[in-house]
Amino acid sequence: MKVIGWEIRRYLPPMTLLLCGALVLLIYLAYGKDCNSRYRDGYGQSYRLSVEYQKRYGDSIDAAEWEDIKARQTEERAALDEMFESAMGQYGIHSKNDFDLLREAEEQDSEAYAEALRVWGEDGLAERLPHLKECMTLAWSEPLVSAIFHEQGVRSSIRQWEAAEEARQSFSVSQSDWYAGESDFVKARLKASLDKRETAVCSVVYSLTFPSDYLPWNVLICLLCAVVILPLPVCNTVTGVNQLQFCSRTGRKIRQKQFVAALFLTAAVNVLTDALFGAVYFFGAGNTRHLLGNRLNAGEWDHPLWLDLTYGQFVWLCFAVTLLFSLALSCVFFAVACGSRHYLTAIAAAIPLLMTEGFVFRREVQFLPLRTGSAAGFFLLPAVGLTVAAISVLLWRHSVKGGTIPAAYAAQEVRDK
Amino acid sequence: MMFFKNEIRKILRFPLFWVMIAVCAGLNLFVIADSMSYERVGIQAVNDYVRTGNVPSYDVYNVCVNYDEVKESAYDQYYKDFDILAFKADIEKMFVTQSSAAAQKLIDRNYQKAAARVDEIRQDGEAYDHYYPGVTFSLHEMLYGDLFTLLLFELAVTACFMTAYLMKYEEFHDTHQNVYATKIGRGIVFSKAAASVAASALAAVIVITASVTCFLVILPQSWTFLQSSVSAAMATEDRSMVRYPFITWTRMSQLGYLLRACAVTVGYTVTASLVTFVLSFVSKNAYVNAVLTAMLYFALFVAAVVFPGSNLCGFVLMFTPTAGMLNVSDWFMEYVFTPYVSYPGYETWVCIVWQLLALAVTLPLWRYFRKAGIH
Repeated sequence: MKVIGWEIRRYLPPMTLLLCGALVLLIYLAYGKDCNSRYRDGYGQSYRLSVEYQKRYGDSIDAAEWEDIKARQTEERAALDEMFESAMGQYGIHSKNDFDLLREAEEQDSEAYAEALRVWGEDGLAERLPHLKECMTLAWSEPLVSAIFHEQGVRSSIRQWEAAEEARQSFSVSQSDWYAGESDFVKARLKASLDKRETAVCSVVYSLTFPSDYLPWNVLICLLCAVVILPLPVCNTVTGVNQLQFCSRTGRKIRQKQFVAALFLTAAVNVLTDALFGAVYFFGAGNTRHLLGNRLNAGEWDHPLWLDLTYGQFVWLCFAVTLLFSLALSCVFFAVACGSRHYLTAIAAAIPLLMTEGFVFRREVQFLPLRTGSAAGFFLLPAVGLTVAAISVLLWRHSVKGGTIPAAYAAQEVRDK
Repeated sequence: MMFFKNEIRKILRFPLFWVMIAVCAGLNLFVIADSMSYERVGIQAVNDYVRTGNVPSYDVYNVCVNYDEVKESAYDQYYKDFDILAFKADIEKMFVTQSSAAAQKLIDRNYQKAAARVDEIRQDGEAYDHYYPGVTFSLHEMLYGDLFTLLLFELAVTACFMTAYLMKYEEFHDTHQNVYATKIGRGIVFSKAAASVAASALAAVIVITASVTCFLVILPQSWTFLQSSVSAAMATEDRSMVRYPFITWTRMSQLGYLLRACAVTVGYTVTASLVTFVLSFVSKNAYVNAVLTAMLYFALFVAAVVFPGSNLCGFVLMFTPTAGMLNVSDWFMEYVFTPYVSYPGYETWVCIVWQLLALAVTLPLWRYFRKAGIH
């Protein structure tokens, strides 16, 4: 264990740590910080409303509660109009309707232009039109822009809930030919899943986009594994450390320790990155942790999923699949690095591996709960990962026994005898 | 010259050089075959329809009807009332971009040139050129947006690897103590740089030739395609969120555009090689050198995407090879959604200025390297 600890330290020199930090920062800035953007800013109004209503009314909404929501919508609209009045009253715009009319009346041939002429008269329109740019600027700046999105969110949420409830009631397994050719096992699972299906308040705001949201972090994990694992075995070859190590029986075991250390580091990278992702995604500005308890099947998804998972369970599944992928990749990286005599060869070999991993994750995990054929979808990926890992281990064991430095090994064998 | 020959021989004997070329060309061929597999049938049908006047089969009826519609209405739809200044104002209104006075002045001046160019296109008949309907086949996006963007990244990686390999060749083979022991030996880095640039350009030429030839072979009647104007009304495609014609800064046929794009791609590859060369002075080995170059490019990408700015800083952040590589389908033309790159010669100037910058930075680094300890 002590040797593994030393090898872990050798994998993490200050420059590598610095590089990892820079990578995390750059990927966070470019993609990571926006991973939950669909649940925040203007677009997140529906989600925030859903959370608020879920707290107030529970998971589903009855008729009396609908009336309450609709009454509230009227209040929201009045509040919004008041904001327009205070912001744009000086330009003759007293409500959201006035603003929409003015915006659309810019086109002289449009129906809106005729309507604006009817409402304001020619002089009134001529007075207002020159101020359109100022009005647009005001409408797209805080706090008006948030209020507009909020009011839109209330309206679209009500429409979406109604549509979702209607779709839920009209849907049945027999109506869908999506699962027509499936086994009885899958159909039974699907029916059980559908029986529990209900239109939760939050259901209208999420779809199965989590793998896409998580993809940049998945790529980051694999990149970090490459950056951490690739250099050391190549460095051992380039600097002749291997020659020294393999000259003794204990030394020859060090490569196994290096391999184990690489796997430990991969797991650590996964845990740390997932923790960071969790903090950003579930507790960041979007605060999406309310999704975790909701069933995936209640979400905005065209076809029912035969696996009855909650959002939170699916998140853990994605983390697990990424861990598995990264472990398999680390095995391959280690094998590639052990077989390379040059840093550039190792990096060049790592690029297509990383691309393949990203492609497979994006392509497969997105549809994992939708995939039919019982549990094959889940066991296929671990099976592939384990096979790849086994081949990698065989490869580097071969490199120790007679591939990379046969002369040193043979000489030591003679001395041992 | 002898040093140069020896250095280039080192690269040509490095298996990774040829492996990279083969992999890049193979990947490009796959991308072309994949994207053309469906479109080719439609393009062939349009060709037959134009030649014979008959719809070849029922399956392609819609494509042929669409060709007729686009041919008849394209000019009226995209050019007749097209006012690029009003269009720009609309976009500004939509996104409420408030640039500083100096930046706004520059943007306005460039769009005045674009407006003059729109008038020229209307008058000299470029807009009436025949072309495969852009809205149906999106050939421009396919060739430049997909293929050339991929090419640029592949070639930048290849150039980076080859330059890093050659610059750290002596350290890797433990000959640096002999080579760098003399003044002439230290000067060999310039031969290495020249050889890296030549090898990168060679790789670029091979990969581009293979990829573009494959595209033109798969594309039916490619000669017809190459002769028409880029700014033809029929060539109009969906550009980001809106559909409007390609307003090139000068009159340009598809062949001219393709050749220019190839030349600029080679230029970007050479730039990547020179940037790697500069960073080799501060790198311990080839791994660090390659990783530093990749990180610099990535940082420039993040800067261009995350901090575009709304003043002259925006022009500076977009004046990088990475930003140039992101907008290949809008090279040599105006691009409304990124006004900071909408000026004639942007792509070429980025190449030239960054290459000169790399050479300028080399001078102090060379002075340091000339006297640095070799142990």
